[in-house]
Amino acid sequence: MSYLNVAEVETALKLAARPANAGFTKLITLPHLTWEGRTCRAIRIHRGAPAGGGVYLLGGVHAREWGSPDILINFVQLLTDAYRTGSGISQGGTSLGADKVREIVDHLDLVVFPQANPDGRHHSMTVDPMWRKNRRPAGLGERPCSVGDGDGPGVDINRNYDFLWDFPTKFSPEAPVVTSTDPCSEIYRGPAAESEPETANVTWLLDRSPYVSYFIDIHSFGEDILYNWGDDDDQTTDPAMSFRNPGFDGKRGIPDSTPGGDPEKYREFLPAEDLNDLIGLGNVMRDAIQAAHGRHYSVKGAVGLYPTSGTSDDYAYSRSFLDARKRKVRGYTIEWGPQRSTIPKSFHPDYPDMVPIIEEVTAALFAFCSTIAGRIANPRPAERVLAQPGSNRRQTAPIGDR
Amino acid sequence: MSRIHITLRGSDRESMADLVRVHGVRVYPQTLKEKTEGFQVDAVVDEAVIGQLVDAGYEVDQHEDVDEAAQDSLQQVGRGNRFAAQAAAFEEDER
Repeated sequence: MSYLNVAEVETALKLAARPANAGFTKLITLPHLTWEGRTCRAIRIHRGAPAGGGVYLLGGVHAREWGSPDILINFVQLLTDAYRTGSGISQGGTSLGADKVREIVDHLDLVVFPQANPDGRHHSMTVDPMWRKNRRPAGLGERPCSVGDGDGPGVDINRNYDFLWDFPTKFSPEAPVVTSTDPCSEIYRGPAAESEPETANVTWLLDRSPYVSYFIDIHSFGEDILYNWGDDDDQTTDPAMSFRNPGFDGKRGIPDSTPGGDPEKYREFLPAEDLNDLIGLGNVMRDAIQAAHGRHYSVKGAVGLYPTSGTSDDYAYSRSFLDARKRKVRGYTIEWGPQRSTIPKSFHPDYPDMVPIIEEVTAALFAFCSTIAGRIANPRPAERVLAQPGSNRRQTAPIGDR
Repeated sequence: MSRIHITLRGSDRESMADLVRVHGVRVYPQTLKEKTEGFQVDAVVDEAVIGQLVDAGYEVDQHEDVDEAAQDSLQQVGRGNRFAAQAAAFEEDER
């Protein structure tokens, strides 16, 4: 057993959309060729009337995080095989009846883009296993980088989205933001927001997925389930204190836990209903992972001591705040796998060690999708969940008015 | 230049934030831990930077050369295309 190479991911995706599955799958060719001329593809899984909601699963953004496409291909294969044959799914902690499989496919618009950065993955799997970025070449007059065979710079796709991308303006000069304007840094944000074809493919697909209401970007490592936001602590009371408000430029990115607190008192607005939902569904995934092989993942807000800008999950969630016609898309990043004895082994565990991780994250994704599909198929008065920003603790109380 | 995995220890959160905003170190945020005597975080740096961090007051444990250690991982990647025969069979059926 071994990690899927770039060609295998593409072939597996095409097989999942083969004629026998044509009634409920569609292979999508993304419009932007990568820097090295590769075509990217995604798959849409849904049958019947317009979906009541949807989930967008993204993987393979960071080249060296080899297991992410393998997780998503495993998920797609299990789901499409089970739906076509009218059977359930049972694998390493996942147990889903045929009725639940039908519920997911019949009620959800599932969009899976497993290999967003094939150039980077190919480079990582053949030349430089620690390569993280895409393969944007150095421009005319730019200095070559000492890493990446001098072919750099390459751009960190997950710092290139149009969410507070201009961090020198948007964040406090005191904020330890984990991104960079240095083309040779492995967290280089790129020359402009959404400058990269790989980033543009992700957003193109989001634009054309009007039923999608959740977005999950699969990364490694750390055993975390992170929810919005990543730029600063969350708050639920002041909608004006938000990324949209230029009055807070230069004040973002200092978490309250910094010694002396945050002198600017900035926190990013996240409606309480969204926070409750993000934590609740994060806990669903956490529990599914624990049930699979006993691993414990933490559910928490994405910001820690080190804030981020230009990330996919915050971009996806930010869109409806900027354009009310767009559906709200709540965002997660899953960081699979524990830290191991070396950094390379943390990113690409020996494949036998990767298998249970594939199974546990697959279990989490099925639990997540099944919960949302169940809500759509069987709407009922919701429970009120009272949550604290930045915490995964919650209390519940019935309200019955929704 | 070799890139080395290191563990950095500092006395407080402020010093850990300085790793990014002052020293430009590529930290791995998910490895940040609070210890009884301060904080620690893992990072990957050029070998030449290690001395500067020690001079700046950080305790540094050196681990592996990440690029050298990572070469072993290449053996874990699939060769050829394990799905090719299946794909060819489906294409044949289509005809």
